[in-house]
Amino acid sequence: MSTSVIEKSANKKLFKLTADGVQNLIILSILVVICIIGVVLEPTLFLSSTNVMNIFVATSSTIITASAVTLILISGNMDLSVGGVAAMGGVLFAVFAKAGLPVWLSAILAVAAGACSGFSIGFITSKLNLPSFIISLAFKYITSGIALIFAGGAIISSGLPGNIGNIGKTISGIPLPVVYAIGIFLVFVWIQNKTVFASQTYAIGANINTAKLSGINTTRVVSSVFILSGVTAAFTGVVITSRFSVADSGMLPGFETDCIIAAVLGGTAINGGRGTVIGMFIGALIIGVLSNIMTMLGFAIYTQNVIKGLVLVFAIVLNNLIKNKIKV
Amino acid sequence: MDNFVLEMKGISKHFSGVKALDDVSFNIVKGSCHCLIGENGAGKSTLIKILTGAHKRTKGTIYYNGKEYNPNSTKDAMKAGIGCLFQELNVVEQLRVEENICLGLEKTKFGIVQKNKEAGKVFEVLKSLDSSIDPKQMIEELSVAKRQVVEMAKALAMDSDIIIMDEPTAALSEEEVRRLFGIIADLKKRGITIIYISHRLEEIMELADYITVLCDGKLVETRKREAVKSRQELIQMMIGKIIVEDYIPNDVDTTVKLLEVKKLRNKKLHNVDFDLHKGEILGFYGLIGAGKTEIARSIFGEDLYEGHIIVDGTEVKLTSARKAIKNGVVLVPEERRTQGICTELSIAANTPMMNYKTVSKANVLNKSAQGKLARDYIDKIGTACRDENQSVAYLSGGNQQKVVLAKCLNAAPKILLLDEPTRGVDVGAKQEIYAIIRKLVKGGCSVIVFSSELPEILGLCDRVGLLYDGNLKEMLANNDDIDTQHIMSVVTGG
Repeated sequence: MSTSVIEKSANKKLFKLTADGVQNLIILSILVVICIIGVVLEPTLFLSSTNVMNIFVATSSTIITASAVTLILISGNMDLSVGGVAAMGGVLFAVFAKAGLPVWLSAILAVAAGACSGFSIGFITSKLNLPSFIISLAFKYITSGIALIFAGGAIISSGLPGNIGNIGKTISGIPLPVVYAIGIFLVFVWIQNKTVFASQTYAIGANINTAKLSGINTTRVVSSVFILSGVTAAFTGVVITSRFSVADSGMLPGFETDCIIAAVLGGTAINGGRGTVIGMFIGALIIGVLSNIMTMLGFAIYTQNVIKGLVLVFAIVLNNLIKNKIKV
Repeated sequence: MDNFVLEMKGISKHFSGVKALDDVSFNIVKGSCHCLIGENGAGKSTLIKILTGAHKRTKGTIYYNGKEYNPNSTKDAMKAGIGCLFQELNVVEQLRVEENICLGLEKTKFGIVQKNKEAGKVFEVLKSLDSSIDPKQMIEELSVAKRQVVEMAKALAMDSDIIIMDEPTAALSEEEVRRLFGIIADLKKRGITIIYISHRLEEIMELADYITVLCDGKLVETRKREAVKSRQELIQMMIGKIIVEDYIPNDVDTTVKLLEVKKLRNKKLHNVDFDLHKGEILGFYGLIGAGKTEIARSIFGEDLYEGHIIVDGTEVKLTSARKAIKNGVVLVPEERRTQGICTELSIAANTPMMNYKTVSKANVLNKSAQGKLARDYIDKIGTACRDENQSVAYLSGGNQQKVVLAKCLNAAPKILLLDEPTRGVDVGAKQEIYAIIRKLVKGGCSVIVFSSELPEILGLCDRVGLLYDGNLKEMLANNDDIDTQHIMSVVTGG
């Protein structure tokens, strides 16, 4: 009896894709189309191994942080602080290393600072029932302010230990940032699919009242997702600082929007309750490839911004369309 | 021949299979005060929403001043001359009286608001209704009664023929009620028709020219006020013949008190005391605002309270749903869509929400266990759905409620609180839900049902607590000589 039910549902799954499935299929097709356009426009350059690696390295920051930002959006919240936190993480990492702490300890301390910022946002948001949008915006200023203070308003490049580059370097042709990105992405795929924590995150995003009345500790869950984004953002800053052996207090401009575009392109609902980390991965690659092509074609960064904004609008419209059309 | 301002013929309204109104026909005489009464869920609100254009009727025709009337929105209705004082007043607290009056009336020139003649008219009307209201005052400084007057002035200035008042006295003091009645008398003199809805039968007896009684979406009858001799008679009309499904006494162990509530009090409740025995279904009956939901939410740790709650012999201080669930107290909340389920998520994702331990080990989720849990409950409870991966949003009300029940049962409750468990649920699913509740108490769980449907309470519960205005007035044993008239009299404040 029960096996027949399972068979039936398995059968249906073959023919009827869920909204997430449709979303992933569509954006994967978009990615493929964009890649084909890239090949057509720049046949030799686009597929060269250096360029492909460049795309992956450039996208790795987004993937690392957007993995956590996806969970934040699923929980019905918003994190606009990740750019600031990344800058703070990178600068603090350099400051600690310059002060003579071992590089690994400097990295851990910088990431811990990111965790503190994330926890503060999550705790204030959920405990006081305030919009995370505005709290995280405040922390964007706090963290990027801290970065500017410690970097003296510019960059830290001198006096850094020689081994500061260890965390972000390329080992036998494989850039470590890409390794981190894939590793963190896989961990978050596991978290999203396999943990009670993620189930509770979906519940909170879908309906916070129901979640509360079901006994879910919303403060703990929301604080946790923000800690994750603080950690991943600060780690991103550490990796970039290490890779270039420079801590730039103004690194990653527009990083928060990149993370949100990646997640939303991947089918994460801006109001929460829906989304996948895998979708975000494809979304991040779309932005990465698009930027890469535009740079190759010599588009000014301003033009690229216009296109990015349009992509975000497209992503949200697509999201809505799929949500309303696919009723499962 | 009476001069009818409004004629309703065969009005029906269906909400996804549930008949909220069923073939209701009656007429309203111009310049009269026509009172509408009925229990909760009788269809009064639905009727008003149809008249004010918020809902579209499924069937039937309405004639307004002899012409067919089909409002598409509240604005349409207002333009046509039907104004409404909703229970939730439509005023913006942060604005001044005059600004509120101009809202919606305002004519703009190049985006600049023009103080116009209409607004001037409102001020005149306002003055004639209550001269103590200063147009420059902020709405938030005004009492509810005065806010109502502002709303009325607005409706009158739009040349309304009919003003609908939905429970206007719910938040008024005795003196303010008197003033309101004075205004109503005044309005009648101006030839304005009042449609008045209230639970307070004394008010009805005092105000009404005509009384229409609704019950379960059907018209019971319309009578002239003079034809109703007493409040008792009104109650009789309201409840009609209560058809109580066979009440089957449960196997109650009166020696074990699973829950003791002593002197429970907060903003709304006044020293409520009661016990719940093992294997018992206890019912609380009262009208809207009597305190049912407040009792449920206090016990569940969601509302602040003073007093003592003793679960299974130990006093507990429940300050959150989480603590209550840990102590074996579980609530099926009143508002299913906003409190009971996550509509966007699947049945499988909703089911374990109160107790993930049944589908996880060390906080790692077992997806196949989650699917199996959901399927087990679907079979056990009889939820009609495609499969466990279906979104709850696309289930009917009754099946959504079954998902909520499954979720609660998965928490293995000792005490299950059900707040309006069958609201918006069709008849068939109702019976199924009752069967689930009865089966549950056989397993040694105890249940408290909070309901504003008397047949439901009398069909299920071993004892019935009657609530009025936050007080537990009486606790009756449910047996053959339970007197429904007496019950209605108590819960309407008699």
